[in-house]
Amino acid sequence: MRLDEFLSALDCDPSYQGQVVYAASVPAHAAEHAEIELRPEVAATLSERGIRLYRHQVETIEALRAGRDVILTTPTASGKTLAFHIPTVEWLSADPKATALYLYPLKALANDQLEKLRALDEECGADLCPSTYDGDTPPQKRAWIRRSARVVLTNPHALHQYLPWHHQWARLFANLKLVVLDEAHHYRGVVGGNVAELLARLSRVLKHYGARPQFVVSSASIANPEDFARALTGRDAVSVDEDGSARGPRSVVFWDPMADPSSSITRQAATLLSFLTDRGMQTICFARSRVMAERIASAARRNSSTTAIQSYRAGYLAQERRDLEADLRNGRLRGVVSTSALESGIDIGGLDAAILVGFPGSLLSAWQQAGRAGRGSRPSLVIYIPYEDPLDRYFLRDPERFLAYTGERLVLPHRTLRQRAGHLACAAAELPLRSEEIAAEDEEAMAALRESGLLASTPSGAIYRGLRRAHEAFPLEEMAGETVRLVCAGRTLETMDPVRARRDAYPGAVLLHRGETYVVQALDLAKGMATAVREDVDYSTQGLRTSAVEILSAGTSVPSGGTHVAHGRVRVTESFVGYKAIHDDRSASLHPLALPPHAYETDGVWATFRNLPLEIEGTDLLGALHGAEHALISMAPLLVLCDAADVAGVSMLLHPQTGAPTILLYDGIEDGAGIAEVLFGEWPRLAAAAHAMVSQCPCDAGCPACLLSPRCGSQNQPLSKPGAMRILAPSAPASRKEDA
Amino acid sequence: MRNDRLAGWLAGRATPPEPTQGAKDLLDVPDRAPEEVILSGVQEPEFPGTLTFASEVPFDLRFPSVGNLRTSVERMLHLLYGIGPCRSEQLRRQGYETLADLTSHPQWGEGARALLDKWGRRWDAKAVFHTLRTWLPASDPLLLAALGLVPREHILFFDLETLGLSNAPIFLIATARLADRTLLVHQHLATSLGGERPLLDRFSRELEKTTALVSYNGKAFDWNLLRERSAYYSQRLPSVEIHADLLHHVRRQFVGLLPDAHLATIEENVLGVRRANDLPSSLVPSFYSMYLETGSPAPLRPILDHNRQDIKSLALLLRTLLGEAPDATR
Repeated sequence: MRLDEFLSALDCDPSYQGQVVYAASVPAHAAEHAEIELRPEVAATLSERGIRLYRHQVETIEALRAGRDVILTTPTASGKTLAFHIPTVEWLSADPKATALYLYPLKALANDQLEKLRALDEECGADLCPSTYDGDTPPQKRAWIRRSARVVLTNPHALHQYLPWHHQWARLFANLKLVVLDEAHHYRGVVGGNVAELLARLSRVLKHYGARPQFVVSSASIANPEDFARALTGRDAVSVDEDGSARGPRSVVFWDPMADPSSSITRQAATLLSFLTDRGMQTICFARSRVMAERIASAARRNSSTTAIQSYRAGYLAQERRDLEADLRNGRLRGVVSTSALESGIDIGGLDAAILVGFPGSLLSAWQQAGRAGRGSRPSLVIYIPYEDPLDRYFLRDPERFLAYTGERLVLPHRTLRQRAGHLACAAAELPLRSEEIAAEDEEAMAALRESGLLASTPSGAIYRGLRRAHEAFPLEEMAGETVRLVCAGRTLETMDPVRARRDAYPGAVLLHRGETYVVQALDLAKGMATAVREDVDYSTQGLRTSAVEILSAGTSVPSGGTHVAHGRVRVTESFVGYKAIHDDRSASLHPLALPPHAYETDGVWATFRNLPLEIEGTDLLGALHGAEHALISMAPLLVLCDAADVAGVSMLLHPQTGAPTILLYDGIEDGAGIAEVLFGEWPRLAAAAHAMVSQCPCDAGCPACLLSPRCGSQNQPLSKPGAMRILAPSAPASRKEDA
Repeated sequence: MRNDRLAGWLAGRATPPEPTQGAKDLLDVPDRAPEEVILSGVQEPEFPGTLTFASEVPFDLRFPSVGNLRTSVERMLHLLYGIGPCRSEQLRRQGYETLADLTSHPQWGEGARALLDKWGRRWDAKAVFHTLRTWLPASDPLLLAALGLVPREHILFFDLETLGLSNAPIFLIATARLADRTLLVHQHLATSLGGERPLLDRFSRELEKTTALVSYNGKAFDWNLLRERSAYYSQRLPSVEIHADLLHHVRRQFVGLLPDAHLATIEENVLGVRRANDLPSSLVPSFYSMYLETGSPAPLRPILDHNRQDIKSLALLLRTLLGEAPDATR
């Protein structure tokens, strides 16, 4: 259905209340093919499947053939996997001993890819024996896989455990030609830094076996592909980011649910879903939680003439999921409502339309979701329905920002001392650590490891001598600082750092895990455990944070449009004073919390404003600073891939250390995650985005869609919208004169 | 993160359990000065960082006669690929009693001839063991009896002491060989953690003269650890064709009669061994750590005593398992 057809059909629909505030057509682009000579069996398979390679696929193959590493960041469904499967098949066919290693962030993604790789292997007769190897691999199959499989698909946690047994993998490692890091955008922040350390250890072991494989990093579109690949693998990579696949015309519709206050967002989404499926459009709808997905699906089934509308979630059994995926591919299923589980990786073919209920936190995810609509050169429709959050609503007012997406920055933080120590201990347990392998910056961690008796110096190098296996004593997630386990009925759902545990897992908190809602019963920080029960609830919770921040050391400081911006190390003392339960009908209730304050060091970025009048635009300065702080935090995810909750801030009329009115933002993660540093470098853009967001909001005094923060520990008091706009304006009052 | 916080985070991941007072008493030995322990060890110049302690124990072990073994094995028609219990019975009824009879069978003759050829006229121990291991359960008594095919000086008993639970450095390897009415015990000790690598070299040398290994839980633990530690130092451990892990046989013979299959339980209930002033296995890493930290050889003696008893018990256990009708009540 074309955009004009959709809009005129809507106009005739009695339930339509004029919610479409903007509609844009993204022009189609024709396929750009390229030719390359392939091994006959590969060429034959492709022609049998009716596949002609796109330019970006050929570029990838050529770069790999030239011995280079590649980072591939073309959009969803552009055929990224085929671009590295082909070199795998070719190289492994040419050399019957050659092997490849594929790393996936999640087991489910590895399993999905295994089937595709198997099919290609059979059609090409390449004899790759592709196999997944992880915690789910049956013991009786393990020895065979280690002996015979030529493509092994696994995940970072598993690789961390298997590295010390490298002698059992000697065949695979010694003959390794290619390492593929698929869905690599998952490796961001602290997790990404940890994976980078793991890959450095892998490379060290590979060097021991005389292997120097090439790396392929495949990721959703991001702003800094080369930097990201280098940070992750420690090597330079050729960036392939120009999509050569065919795209039909895509229409993006920005839908303002507030235009119909009588109907909830869930109801409007369901109505839209049935509206589209009734008109023959196969539609996917993305919801934030499984409960919401089910509600939308059942409401849509009631409205629609078809009952072929289902919800999909990560928690289904493998067979159920596979059936649903197959039904989507063959068109039997007309509508599906999913959590982010179907965002990427899993092959469901292209659909006609996608509905995004709520901004998924990053444009990267939003475009992954939008990319599910569109099949070859057929037209597709994307409908974006925001929640009442600043960033959500911001795109409604500045849709071009959404449409002109070029990717957020993916950053990996500097390694913490703890991470260094943990990975050094593991490296020393894999092979003796020779002195020439130890960087100067690692000396402090090495000294601590020797002091604690974990490492011993021997003529062969430093060897690990702890009582427990190094890889058990230092689990991957714990090196990332994730020392608190979230447990439900004896099963660990996830691990989190203590800062996030206080923020998200206080008693009474509602937590989303793989789309399911859990209610936290207790948080024992000394034991490092939060216990939760599975429960469907119709409310969400927000912890209310207050914090005091002390600047420990300041790096460079630059004047930026009348303000001084600096970044450095800070010590944060954080208290969660209570939490707010927000019900679906938008009513909220407050609950006190008795958690001790928590102090930790992290990275901060702060702006100081000198020569500001104590009263601007008839309101107090503190309200202006406070409002600007909220706006800046809301916009941070535009610039760096992070959760808005990972950025926190304080604002003060007079900070004792800067001696001036100050807004300070910090990484809400112990030891920092590299966010503040990016915000420092991008401050003018951040301030401009925040200013645009606030000034474009039609409210008078600040509303949940601009200045009000659900996480604010001081009840959003005081706040001044005109003041915040003045502070954020490119020509702030302080621009007249700069202090030395 | 400041360094003291790092130290706090690392603490507890390294230290072995604190020895009890009773165990600490083992450090005070009235009859011998601790230094004598070290003095009694021999430093082999090729293996710096190691000391070898030799001792001889009166010990006699007779394997069942090779003739009996051959008779039993030759009657096992199911050692041939494709023959199961039913067909075996069928063939027996047709008059094919032994593998030798079967060599004239129209269908199975070729296989039987190939098998007997593989074993050779004098019955090559490795070849026979290989066949038996393929078709019999790991706990079958015939696998122990087959050790009788190996020249007795080529059988090596071994036992390890390590610094931790798994994947930890090895610091002591006890080996024992059968000689005329004696058991020759050699305990190879790493005098520092840097001695682990030469220690593994020393053990590899021992393996060159070895056709069969005897251990207790060595297939699952000791041998894997030796391989792993050798790979850690980029060394290759020579492979040994025959490995008799007595744990499998103990499980089979004493299942239900004993609460568990720990060597200490077997010693007490089957071998009649009473250990006096013994260092518990769980404290061995602590004692060796104590030696590394203080440099005092005092903690080494209880370790060496404990380990020597382990290897003696291993030899005794083999003798018991080879003997008739085990008596679990003794």
